[in-house]
Amino acid sequence: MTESRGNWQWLYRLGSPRWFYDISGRWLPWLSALTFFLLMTGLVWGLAFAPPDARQGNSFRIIYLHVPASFLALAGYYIMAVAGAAGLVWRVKMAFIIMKSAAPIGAVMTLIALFTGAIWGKPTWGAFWVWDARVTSMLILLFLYIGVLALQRAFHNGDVGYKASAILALVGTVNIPIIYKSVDWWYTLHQPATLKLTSAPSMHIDMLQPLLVMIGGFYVFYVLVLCLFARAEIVCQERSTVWVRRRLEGTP
Amino acid sequence: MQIQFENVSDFLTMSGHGIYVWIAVFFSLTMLIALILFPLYVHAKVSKEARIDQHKTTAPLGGEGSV
Amino acid sequence: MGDIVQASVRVPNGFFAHAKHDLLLARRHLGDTLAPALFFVMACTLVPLGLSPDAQRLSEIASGILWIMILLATLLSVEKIFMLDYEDGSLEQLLIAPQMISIPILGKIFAHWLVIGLPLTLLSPLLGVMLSLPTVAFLPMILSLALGSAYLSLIGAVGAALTVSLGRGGLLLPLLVIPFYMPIVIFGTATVNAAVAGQFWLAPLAIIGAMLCGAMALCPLAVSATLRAMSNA
Repeated sequence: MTESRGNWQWLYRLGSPRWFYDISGRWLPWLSALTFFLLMTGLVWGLAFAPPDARQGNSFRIIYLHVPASFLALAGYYIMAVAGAAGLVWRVKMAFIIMKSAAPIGAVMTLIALFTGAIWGKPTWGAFWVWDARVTSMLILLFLYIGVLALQRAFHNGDVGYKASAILALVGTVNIPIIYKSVDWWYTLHQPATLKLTSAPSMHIDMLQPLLVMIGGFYVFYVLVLCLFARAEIVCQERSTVWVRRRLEGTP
Repeated sequence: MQIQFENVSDFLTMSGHGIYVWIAVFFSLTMLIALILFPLYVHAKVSKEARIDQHKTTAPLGGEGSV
Repeated sequence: MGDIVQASVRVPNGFFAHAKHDLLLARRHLGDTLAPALFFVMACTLVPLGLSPDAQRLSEIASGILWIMILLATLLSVEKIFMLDYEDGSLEQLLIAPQMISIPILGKIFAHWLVIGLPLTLLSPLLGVMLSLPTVAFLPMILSLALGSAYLSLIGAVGAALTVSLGRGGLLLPLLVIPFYMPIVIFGTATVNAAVAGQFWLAPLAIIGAMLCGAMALCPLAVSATLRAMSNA
């Protein structure tokens, strides 16, 4: 194996479910440990050590779950769509597996963001649900995820299901900016004067640090769970191949 | 940096906001744990089925030949 | 040179041939064709019954009701765009043809709009009167619905293509498509409401036009990619 070939070898290997299954198996313990460490540190730091917000008091601590989940809800859709596009263009099976795995994770992240947002809304706005621009956009994002999940489940032929949901995810990516802009515009049109978001212009550094740890922790968590879902999907798709049987037998 | 609460009950009530914070934490952690457990469950189930199929249909794998 | 001339003649032919074919099919299945319009009228009748017959209250929400009902009526019919062709195999033939299939697909979507969107738009003034929509809002409502229903057909065609091979797409299709319909409902009702409030209603209408142009460019591509993915399996 020469060096010049070696430079591109990883790209071809990346497309192979077998290679991914083996390499991710080696990553899993490290990813799990890092996820646990970051999430526990961020959570304890944010819940117990960060100073309370001047206006919102302790209820602001929900931010340490709400913001990272919102980040990944949106980023997850783009990860799903990019993986789907890679699958459609280069016909890489692994890309489709990543796309399929990203859908349920993104949907759950969106659900967490919506739920924590609603809980946070009660002490802040006085109501669990407010038709605020960001809340509404998040809800529509959840619907987009549900559409992709429903389409994935509907097809018995794996390959067609992959392609169909990849196309739907791509159509969604084109539409997400339109949806966000239109909902924003709609909200400014109907904005009731009594509702004002009481967020400080910039966060204090003592509050920001645990938030950054939590965002990092959520990203590592995302990678970990993406690997777990992808591995389950690989075993499901390739259960009749020799190499999967070998792995299940325990012989490498 | 120092802990913001004087004792455990203060930490749990969070001056009235505790119920909101803890519900949010509980829900989020439940969801995150479910996200970890679900693919592990699917993996284990599929592996078990595949092992049963294998013993039914084919002879145990030899050492030679790989795909 | 000759190829170019031939191609430029053939492309509109594909458009009109498929549009005409679908219009003939629509006339043959007249019951299915008329159902969305009847649904539109009946569902709009539910609103005064469920809410209140008060003209003042109805006029405030008339724009939203008309837009939502048009959306639902379109959803009822949109799975039909490719279903009949899929069942009798002519969709498969379209995919084998060497020419670009975006143009025939656009023709089919145009036919769907002529059969569904346009009649609903023409019915809307009648329901506007019944829901006491202010007179100033009629022109913006008709224009926004005419453009908007074409957008509904285009997006709906993508959903119809994605679910055509499932056979039971009727349940899945709304789940896929409704999130994509949300912006157009916002701008559609905003056009009508702006006219009611005496504001400049051409601005949201222009956005609807822009979204329609974007959808006309992209949706046929998405549909053809989907149909090819389905037929390769």
